[in-house]
Amino acid sequence: MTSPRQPRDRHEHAHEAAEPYVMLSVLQELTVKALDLFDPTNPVDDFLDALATRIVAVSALCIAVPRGAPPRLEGAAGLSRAARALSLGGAREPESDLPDRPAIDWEHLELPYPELRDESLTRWVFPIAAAGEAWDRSRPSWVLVLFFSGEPRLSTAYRGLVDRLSRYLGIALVHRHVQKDLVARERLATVGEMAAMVAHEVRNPIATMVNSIAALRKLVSLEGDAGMLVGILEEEAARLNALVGDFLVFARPIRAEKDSVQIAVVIEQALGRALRASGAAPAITVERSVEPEVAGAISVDGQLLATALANLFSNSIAAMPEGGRITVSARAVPRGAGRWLEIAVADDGAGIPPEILPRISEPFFTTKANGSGLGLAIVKRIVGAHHGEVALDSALGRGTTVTVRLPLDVT
Amino acid sequence: MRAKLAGAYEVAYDCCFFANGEQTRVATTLTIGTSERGDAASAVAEATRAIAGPPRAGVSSIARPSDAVFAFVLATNHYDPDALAAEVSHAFGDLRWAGCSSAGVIAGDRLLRKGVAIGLLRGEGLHVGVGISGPMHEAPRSAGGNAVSRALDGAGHEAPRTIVLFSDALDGNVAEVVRGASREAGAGTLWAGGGAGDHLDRRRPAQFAGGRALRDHVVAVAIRSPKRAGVGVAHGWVPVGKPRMVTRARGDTVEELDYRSAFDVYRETAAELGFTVTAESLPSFAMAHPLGIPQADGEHVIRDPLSFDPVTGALRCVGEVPDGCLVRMMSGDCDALLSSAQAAANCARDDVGAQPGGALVFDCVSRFAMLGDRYDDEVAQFRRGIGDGVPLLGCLTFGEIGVLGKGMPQFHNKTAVVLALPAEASPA
Repeated sequence: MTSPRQPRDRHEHAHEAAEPYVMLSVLQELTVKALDLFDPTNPVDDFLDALATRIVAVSALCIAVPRGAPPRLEGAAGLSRAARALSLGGAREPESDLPDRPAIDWEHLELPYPELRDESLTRWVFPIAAAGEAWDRSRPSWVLVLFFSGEPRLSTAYRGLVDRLSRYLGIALVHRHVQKDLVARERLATVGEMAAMVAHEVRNPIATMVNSIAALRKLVSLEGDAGMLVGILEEEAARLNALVGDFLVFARPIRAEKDSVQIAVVIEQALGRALRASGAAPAITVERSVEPEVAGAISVDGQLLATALANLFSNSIAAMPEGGRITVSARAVPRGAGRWLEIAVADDGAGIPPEILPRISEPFFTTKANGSGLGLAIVKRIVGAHHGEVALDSALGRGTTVTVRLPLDVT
Repeated sequence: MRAKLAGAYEVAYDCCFFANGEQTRVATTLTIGTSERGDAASAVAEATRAIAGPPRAGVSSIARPSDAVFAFVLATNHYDPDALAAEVSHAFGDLRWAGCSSAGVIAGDRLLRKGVAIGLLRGEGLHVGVGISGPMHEAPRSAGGNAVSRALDGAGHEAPRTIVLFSDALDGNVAEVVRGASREAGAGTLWAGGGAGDHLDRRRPAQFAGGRALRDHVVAVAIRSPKRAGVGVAHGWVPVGKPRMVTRARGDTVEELDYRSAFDVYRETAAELGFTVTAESLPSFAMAHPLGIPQADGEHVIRDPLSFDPVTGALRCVGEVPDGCLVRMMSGDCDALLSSAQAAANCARDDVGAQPGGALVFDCVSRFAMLGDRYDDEVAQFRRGIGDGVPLLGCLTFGEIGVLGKGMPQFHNKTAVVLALPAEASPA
């Protein structure tokens, strides 16, 4: 019997010697599978699983969106749930013999996740440019990141194959996102049409009710039970009006039109709106804090932000029926290569029970008798239109803090 | 130190040796006890006595060493799995253990066609967790993921980590189990394991964990060791037929090759090589001529054609075949299989970089079927590759789990997987 060939020895050179038909066949197989990505309901993870086992001797791989706020993973294979939180800092581009490709600015390919700490893994990054964009490797729409155990030694043909596949992935991913947008827009259009119908159909009768009640008060002296009943009618009509108004705000497309505003002014507008809407509110003290770095002009949609903050202030006021303190602070925080505006609204109300917390921002979910259940949902949509994020921290007896973060500078 | 006891085979390796002028102590050991007694109670009693001595008076469980962290229990299909599990649980007390039933168990230097082999894992710095999930056939991917998640919760998520999977292979999609498992464990994990079962044996295979016998489940054992373990995967098959494209496949069934009936194309390929294959001779011919899925690194993942549909000509394999991939007819002889067994063991040992503290072997039952009387040579090749004095424990599997070359774990057929456990060397 001849001495056994070590499998590891074969691997050192096998990818060099892999027959061309295999490479072409695998490329063809995976290109067809990439078409599945056109359909947004097909998980990106499934395609990447196939890629990882069929084409490359990788330990793991992922498709990441390096720009935008917040940066994120489109999908991954071979990455554990914990390691899906990853940073691309320190990754390097494979040597390329293709001409005229400017280097990617790796320093700014930073994802806000804890670093993948297994130092035995080497990361190689292939840019995926969206179809139709000029080829600019310094600003890819997505990146395909391959994780190799140890130092990979891959042939030019192998790298070329992955590079070509990246092109097809760009086409598939663009189409996928266009499909998602189309579906979302159709859904919004339907909701928008329904909202317009509701507003037209419902608001007019409500206005008639409100006017009639006002006229009734002038015509008849309403005392005792009659007066109480008419008062109830007034309150319920106002509540219906507010509910329809909230629904219209929630249902219509929200586009942030940024302008130069002062955050302190926006905060005061929002506070005023919330205090007026709360009617005869008990004593509420408000502590304001705006750091110098954001005290000047900042670029946000002031009207939308005021609406969002007004909702947060209203929630805080409602959480303190006997009065209390609201603390609002605004500051700049660094994130990646830029800065984010962080606004925190805290109250010392009763706090939110833990069993309710997961549902608190669901549309129409409310624990208040007079609530629409849309306040936080509207906040999320407004913040989302700014590509920001909302965080909520609450505990019984400790009050609630809602933190809104919006990107100030986007690179 | 090695001793042979009547009725049992004990391999205990725990010694001091000198290296570079320092006295070092091998901390990780795999102590193996076996029995070929016919009933579960006697077999378990004999096997456990060999590894830990008889129970103390008044105490029902074995007097196990204080640094025992886990036990692998492998048993042939002859035993009632539930009875066996009960006996082992009774003997081990609160020591965690896991394993499976199979067509044969490997212990030391031989294959037991009827017997029990128990490997007691001992060592400082070893952390072991066990996870169970099922029913596997309903949701194989989540079964794999959940089992690994639970195992890692027990062992800890830090590297280096090794996952050993025992899966029911008769009914479920083990490739999906592996996908789910690897998504949970992530990169940097070593993989070994196999499917419990034997398509020739109609008895339902069992997976052991949680003190009981399970069916249609996935059992994951996560091992976190002070030093990285080593895994070798090899099969010895070489491509002989020209490449054919899988133009239609559904799961483990290849319906079409090159847009024609899969069986017809398989038969034609055999004819080009000078063989005549009929419906009756397919099982025996396919035993030595499986299909191989070429990988970009030159390796081939093996798929074993089990049967074919006489109406449609579809070939059913052990494990899924990706639609659109290439396949080639593979060939191999006994010498090639034996050579690959040593290669796999060599690889595992080389990865550890020193004398291992023990080794686990997952060897395909179809290799046993092909080697027949020469199977003892296969075990000898494992021994030659892993080194003398290294405790060796394993079983015949229905499909194997591991990484062929470098990359992601996959489900293999007709392949040998060897896991070498590091023997930590620390100053005494």
